[in-house]
Amino acid sequence: MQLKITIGFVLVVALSAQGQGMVDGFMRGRGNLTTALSYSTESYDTYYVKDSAVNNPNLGTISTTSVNLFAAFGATKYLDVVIGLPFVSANASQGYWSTQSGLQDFSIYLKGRVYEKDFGALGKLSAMAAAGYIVPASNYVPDAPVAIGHRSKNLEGRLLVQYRLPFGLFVMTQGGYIQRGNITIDRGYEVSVPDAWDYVVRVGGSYKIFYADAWLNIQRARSGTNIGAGVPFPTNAVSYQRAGFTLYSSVPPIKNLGVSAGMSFTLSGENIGKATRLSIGIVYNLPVIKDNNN
Amino acid sequence: MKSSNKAYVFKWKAAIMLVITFSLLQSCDEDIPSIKSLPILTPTKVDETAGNWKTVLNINASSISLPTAEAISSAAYQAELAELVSLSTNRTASQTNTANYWAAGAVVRWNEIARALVAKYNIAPVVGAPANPNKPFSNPPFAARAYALLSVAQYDALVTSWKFKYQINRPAPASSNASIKLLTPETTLPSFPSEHAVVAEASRKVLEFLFPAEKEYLQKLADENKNSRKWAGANTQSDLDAGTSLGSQVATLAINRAKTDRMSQAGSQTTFIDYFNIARIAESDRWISLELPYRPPMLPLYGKVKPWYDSVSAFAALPPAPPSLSSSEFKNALQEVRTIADNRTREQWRIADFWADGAGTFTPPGHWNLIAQELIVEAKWSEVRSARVFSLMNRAVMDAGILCWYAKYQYYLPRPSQVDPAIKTATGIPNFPAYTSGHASFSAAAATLLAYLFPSNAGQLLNQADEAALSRLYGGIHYRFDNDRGKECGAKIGQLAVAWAQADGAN
Repeated sequence: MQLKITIGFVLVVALSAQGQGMVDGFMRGRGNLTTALSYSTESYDTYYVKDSAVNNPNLGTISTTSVNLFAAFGATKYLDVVIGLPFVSANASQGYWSTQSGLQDFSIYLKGRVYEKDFGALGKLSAMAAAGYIVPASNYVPDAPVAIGHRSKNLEGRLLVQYRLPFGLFVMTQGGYIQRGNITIDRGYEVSVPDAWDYVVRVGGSYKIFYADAWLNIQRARSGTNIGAGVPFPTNAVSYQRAGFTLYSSVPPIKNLGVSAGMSFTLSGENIGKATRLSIGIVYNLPVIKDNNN
Repeated sequence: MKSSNKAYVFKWKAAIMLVITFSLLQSCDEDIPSIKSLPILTPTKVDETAGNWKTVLNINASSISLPTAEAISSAAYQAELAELVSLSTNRTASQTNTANYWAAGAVVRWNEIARALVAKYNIAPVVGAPANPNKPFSNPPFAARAYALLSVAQYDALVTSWKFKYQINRPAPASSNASIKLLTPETTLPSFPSEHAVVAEASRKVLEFLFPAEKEYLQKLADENKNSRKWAGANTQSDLDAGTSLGSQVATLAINRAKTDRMSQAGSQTTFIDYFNIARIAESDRWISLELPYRPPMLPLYGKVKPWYDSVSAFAALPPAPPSLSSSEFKNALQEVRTIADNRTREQWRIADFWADGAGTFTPPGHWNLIAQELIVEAKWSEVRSARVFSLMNRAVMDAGILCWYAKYQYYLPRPSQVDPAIKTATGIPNFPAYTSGHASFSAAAATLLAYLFPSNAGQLLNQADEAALSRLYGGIHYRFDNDRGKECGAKIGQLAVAWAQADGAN
């Protein structure tokens, strides 16, 4: 039962590897491995210079497509390992800037459940802590108007609290800090990529063959510059509020297989594109270790 | 019961993991110093005879008036020395920091300040906005002139100050009072007028002329520069006052030249079409702005601005006409740009980006000032000899820019992406015609001169200039012949600077 419930959550993450964080409020369960492959497309023609929305006719619409590989493994009942690796391609519809594409950032998270209390018919409260390490998987260009990422090495710490209500409903909140390392850009010097606080609230329902949620993600840069001279730069203070939803259904004839779809919308932001994102994915779930305790 | 024990154990593991994570977050030192740390300048020689070096603006020392230097034994000067004893022995930590910062050399520090201002103002104005004298657009031609003006004022003021230093011959304060706690090295260089005050005031005034809105900021820096010399125990108040007076008078001469160098007309958007008779060029062969909305081309009459070196010799280096768009030579050159753009390697992108020095940066002329600064600091040259490098180089860079801009508007050659829109770039497409390359022109001029002054670095400097030129081909915004003709022209201007250096009395 728990196994089935977790499937949908893995998906959420796979669908939003660049969006609302990589960790959810459910544990995989010892020995369970979930893999997902998803495709996302995102575009914007409006971006925020600090907090004012502008268009740039010399870039037109910036479109990003990505293919994300994702896996989550329950090392023990209390510890999950989560990894992700997207291939990203970005281009501008106007002007002459070259398309950028490549493997973006490899991320790995360890998530441990530190607290759980069962209220029986009233539900279950659990708390988790997660640590993540994100490292660029290729030497992509971080400082062009059309770029696929910031190329910084990041450390993340997150705390999650989830309350599961009866009837499969749940509420999850998490808060985290993203420490982004300095990068050396092609111009030959080091620049600081701002750290950020990140918060997620998610509500949804999780059932044996179906899952749905809605979420809000707020990220706040701790410091940084504003987009200057019309050119985004890795030192920019990127903040945003995004909301989205996720749907998942298993595909009954095929054991352990599911499909998912999700969308996200940028409600407001600073120094970032006002992007809308659509994702679809397939999920395959398999227990690799027999665990009699589960 | 067993499983709850397990849960208890794991909580501790998780807690430890959490602590480790956050301690890692805290321990990462991300500070990038905003001020470049440089060693205290200890010149290998004082250049006693620099007062006889040739000045750019033909400064007549007898027309410069300075306050009287009181005798060492005078009560007034003894009081100044006593002030220095007090200030230098009671130096606060922050005063020591400031004194260390400026002790790296007034010339290199003011050059850094100028580069930062150029970067700050290197933002294209909104299309159609009226020119705002308080917000100059410090694009590459503007920057080339800014660096040249600053360097000429510094150099001429320092040469003149050396003349007065040895004429008046007031020894450094520490030679007259052993209680002064010197932060800077002992020196035999006479201290009246103070070379730091000379540079501070000349630089402040020239930069205020170029960036009027920075008046207060520049005054604060100049005051700090001068005060730092008292904290360091290196100059008395009268040394500084005399330096301020001299720097101001020479800066006025430099600014007077700048007011009549025709830069004020360089941005005229109506006269250049007639001047270069652009209408005669067939429509399809003409450069057009690739920006939306259409932006008028950058400083079309910069080619008419007065050069620093002999203008007849300079214009003898004017590039020949480019190949016509219908020629096979042109088509092959265009195909080369396309092939590189379609197959651009990461290393080619890096090179394009490294030398781009586009919007919001100190521009390509600023890049060469940085390169020169590193050589100067390494060589430990005196202030006056350091200023000579910048003055020779920046005049050559500006003159090469003038010729490049003249060719751009005389030939009005389209950028590769205008002719073949499938050519995608790794850098922004500059808003002016392609032929010849500004990067190639600026870089060849700078490298030719620097290679003469720093012969052991000659090979590396010329390679850097070649790479800077090549970066524009890798970026997809220049044909190879833009680079080659630009380099040839720049090298010829560089040779004019070398000839000047061979005859200025500094060898």
